[in-house]
Amino acid sequence: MSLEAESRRTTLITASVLILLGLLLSAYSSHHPQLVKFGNFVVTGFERPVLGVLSYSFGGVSDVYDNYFSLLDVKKENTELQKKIGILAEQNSALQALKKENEQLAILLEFRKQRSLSGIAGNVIGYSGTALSRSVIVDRGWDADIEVGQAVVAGNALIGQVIAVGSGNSTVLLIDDAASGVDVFSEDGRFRGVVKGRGHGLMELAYVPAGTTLTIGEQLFTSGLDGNFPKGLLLGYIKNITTTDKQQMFVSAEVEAALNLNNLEIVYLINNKK
Amino acid sequence: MRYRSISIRNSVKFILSVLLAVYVQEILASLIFPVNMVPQLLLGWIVFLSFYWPRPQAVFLAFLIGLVVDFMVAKLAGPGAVMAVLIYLLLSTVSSRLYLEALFVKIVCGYSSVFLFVGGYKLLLSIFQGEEFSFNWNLQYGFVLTALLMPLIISILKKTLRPANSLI
Repeated sequence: MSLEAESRRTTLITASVLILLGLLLSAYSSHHPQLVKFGNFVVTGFERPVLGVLSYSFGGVSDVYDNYFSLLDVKKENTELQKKIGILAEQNSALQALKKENEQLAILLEFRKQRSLSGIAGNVIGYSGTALSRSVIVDRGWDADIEVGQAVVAGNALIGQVIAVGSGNSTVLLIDDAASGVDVFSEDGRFRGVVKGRGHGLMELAYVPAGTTLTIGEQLFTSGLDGNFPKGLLLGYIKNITTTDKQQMFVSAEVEAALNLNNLEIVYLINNKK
Repeated sequence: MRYRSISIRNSVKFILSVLLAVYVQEILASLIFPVNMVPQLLLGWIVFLSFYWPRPQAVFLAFLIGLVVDFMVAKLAGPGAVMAVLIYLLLSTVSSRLYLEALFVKIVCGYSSVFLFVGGYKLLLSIFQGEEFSFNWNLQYGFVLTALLMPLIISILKKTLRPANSLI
């Protein structure tokens, strides 16, 4: 037998013996863990003091790795959360809009029940461009039996009347338009007058007989005498008394609309015929 | 080419280098690398033994290195030693048919050895300790790093432990 072959045979026998020894050691150490603990102490014991010192210098490096990988996760999580926030914000604004619409419709419904007025609700789909022409466009037209002259309310207050009707939409002249005039009376019925538009949500109370005492904050309601508007619709409040001269025939006052006429969304077109 | 004989001085050097590897391994594992990226440096010593060290002594040294790994892991004494001997046998058998100086050979042998070592170690642990056998068959960073470091480890060991009469 050659030296090489002899060497191989010896190696194989040695390896077999060592493998057997390893298996026996495994079996023994599974029941006697103190052997492993002792071995671990012998192998790693000498390095522990040095590791303790080095950990101060290398600990930072390890932290950098850990933090880096954590940051990668955080970045990913952040992106996902940002997306979720975007979706939730969108849903939230949609719900807010629905809530607002629901509130407005509830007010209109209540108004309709209380006043027994028939009509149809509509959405404001456009505004007139200038302050001189104060009108809005509503998504109801002749196909919804809308006619010129119909009173239009929002909430529980008058906002104007229909001046033009088209297919699927109509134009509503707001009460603060310069061409608008509404016959009104005070909340206690002491006086009557006409409210004329001046733009920007402001109106003027005119033709109130001299000697009438006006009170700031007093509510004004439609009288129904002009034939266009049902009686008793809230129009606005006296904001400022402008003429107090008793020598003149009439007194006048500045009137503020009960609603913000620049922020209309849902309106109710009253059928004057019924 | 396998060394014909090795001096006592080189044997001592080898054992010291193993201790140094243990030391470096602990530092890498404890302070620098994340757990899944720690290379198994001692596998480099086993591959070196399989390729170059004289046979009868090499198998003993491989067994001791495996035992050192066992003590480092501190779960059981034996599985690492068994796997080290088996990997030694496997690599020393195929080494005569391989061109050992090729970088690719060293890397492939390195990856194979760490793959077999870890797989076999976990299997033996499951047998003797009753642990459930679980092994990640995907490419692991620690394995790849071990394989990539293999040529460097072998090169350093060859320079450090070259016999006086060797032409390598």
